[in-house]
Amino acid sequence: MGIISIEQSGRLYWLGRYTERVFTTLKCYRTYFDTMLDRAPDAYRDFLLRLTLPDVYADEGDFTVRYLYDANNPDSILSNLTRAYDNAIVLREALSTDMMGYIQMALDQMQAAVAGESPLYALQPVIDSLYAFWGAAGDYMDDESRDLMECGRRLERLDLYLRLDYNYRDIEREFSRFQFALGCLRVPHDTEAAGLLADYISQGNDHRLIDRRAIDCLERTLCLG
Amino acid sequence: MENLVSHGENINALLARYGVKFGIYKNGVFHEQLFPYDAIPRVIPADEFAKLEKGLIQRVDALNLYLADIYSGQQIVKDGVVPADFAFSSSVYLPQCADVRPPRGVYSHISGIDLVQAESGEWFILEDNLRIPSGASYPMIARELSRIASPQSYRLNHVVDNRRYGQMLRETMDAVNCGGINVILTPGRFNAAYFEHSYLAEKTGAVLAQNGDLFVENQVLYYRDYHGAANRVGAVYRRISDEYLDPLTFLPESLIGVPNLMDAYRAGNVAILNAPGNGAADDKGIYYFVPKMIRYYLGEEPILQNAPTYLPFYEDDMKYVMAHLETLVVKDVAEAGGYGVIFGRDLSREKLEELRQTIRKEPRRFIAQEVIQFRDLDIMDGGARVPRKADLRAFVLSGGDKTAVWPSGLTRFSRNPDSFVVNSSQGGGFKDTWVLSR
Repeated sequence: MGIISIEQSGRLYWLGRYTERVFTTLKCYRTYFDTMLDRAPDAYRDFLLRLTLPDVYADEGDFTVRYLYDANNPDSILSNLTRAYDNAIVLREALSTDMMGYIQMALDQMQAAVAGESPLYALQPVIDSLYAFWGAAGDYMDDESRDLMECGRRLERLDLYLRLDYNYRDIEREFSRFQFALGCLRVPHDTEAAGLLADYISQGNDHRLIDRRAIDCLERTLCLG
Repeated sequence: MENLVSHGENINALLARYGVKFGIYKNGVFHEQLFPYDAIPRVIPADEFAKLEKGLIQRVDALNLYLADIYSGQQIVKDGVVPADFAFSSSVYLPQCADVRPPRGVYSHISGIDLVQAESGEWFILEDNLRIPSGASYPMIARELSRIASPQSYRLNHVVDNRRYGQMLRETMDAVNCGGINVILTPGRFNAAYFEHSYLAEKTGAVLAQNGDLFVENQVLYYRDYHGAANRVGAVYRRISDEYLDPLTFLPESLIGVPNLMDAYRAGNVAILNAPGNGAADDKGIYYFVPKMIRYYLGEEPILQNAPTYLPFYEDDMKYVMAHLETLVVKDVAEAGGYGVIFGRDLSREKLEELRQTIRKEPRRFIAQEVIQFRDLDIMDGGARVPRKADLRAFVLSGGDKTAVWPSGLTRFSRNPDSFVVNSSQGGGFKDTWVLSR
């Protein structure tokens, strides 16, 4: 790609964020789906609360379908995947047609899964396509474009892990990856917020939740597009 | 080839996987659609292509000379070969381009020449597209995917590789580049040909830009990157119509153009591919005069013929058109994309009379042509081979030192058995075009 415009830098960053959002929320959805199956039908409310998403669902049955596939719900996984696609389609020359194909496939697979009765099974190919998409980045993208996308992806993952109270080791590992991605970027970022975030995370451990102010710091660290 | 045909569905699935689409507006709403691909290729033997190649190069060279002339000395008009009524009355002749010599004197760098093959086997030129002809990307990627699906088809047939189009286009841009990067200027994602813009950027290594990425300072065009640095642009392959290109020269309400781009162009600091103002040579009315241009500028007889065409502007032609309207196809010179094409045989007596009145009232607005009996090409339809009307868009690239024909092309076909209209916007599909090496 060579030279990256301001708009493209934002799109790369948000492509990273949206693909990660789809990936991690889809995986979490699996966990909650399983819990709702026979133990706690309203567990989805906890999920929504953690992600500060509005509860617009009639019941768990409504949630299991509309949170996945409702194109008119801006928070649904399909809507987030569509946003990833909207960013990817204008980045074909940065991603390559081969790599772009994985996002197209993920979207097609998601849309094809609507009619299925077993979402966890039907959506596995979406997760596979996203894995393939990220794996292809190392081969097809130039370093600068990939770093921008990777930074968005790492930031989003850390944000979700913090919100969803992943265990401390996971958060620590993701924070380290985020710091590395941030260090690769040649764009200014908020070093004060990054420092505060490091403080918050270093205070956490398995027995004590990390202060939610870390999420605010994280969002302030880098803003592109 | 049967093996390739048996993989038609697989190739269409691969085209879907890679997002090979075109955009279309229906009732004001943008939709992306897959471009239906038929796996039976059009096959052009080597000797036939050699003749086509010579004829196409001859035609495009003459058209480039015409553009250079019409925007400077206008000798062809003074010599009475092309009437001033046709040369200058069209809205696509741009006075703003007069006396501007483009880098290396090339006006039409990428020409899309539409041809049909008659049942006799003779090729006829239907239309010259010298502004922003599109479509090369579809056979490019279809060939790539066909080779994956059915490699033996290419092992057993001697097909010239068409995957060098990106390289040819890159060389064309480099040849006229005035110093700086190559850019493909797109109006954006909601343009019908956006897939092609992004795919060609990938294949040429050019930067895909929208107007907001570009600015002109001291008559030099720059691309601003996200670090804030200004990168000089030497060549712009624009995929935006002339009238929207520069709001300070053309339509002031254009929101997709680059202010002062024409200043940089006039100063010779950037090449614009294709040059603004090329519509003056691909107007459907001017088409009639292309064989005369070939004789006038090159002193040669045209190798490829026009479809028999009548200009109601001339009294004799008007009489003929009025008398034979029911057997002719009438084209509105201002329309494109298969619109404004009327077959006399499809009209009722009242509608024919209405059309006669309109032609009498606005003779410059229409041309009339004999209906050529296209040689049908087979397509697969529900598992059966059926014949359909098809045309060929050949791509001719001119970079200064030489003019070259891409050894392939976009073959479009009508999916409707009763229709001659092959345009994708009207439901047509496409085929790969095989040029054989022997």
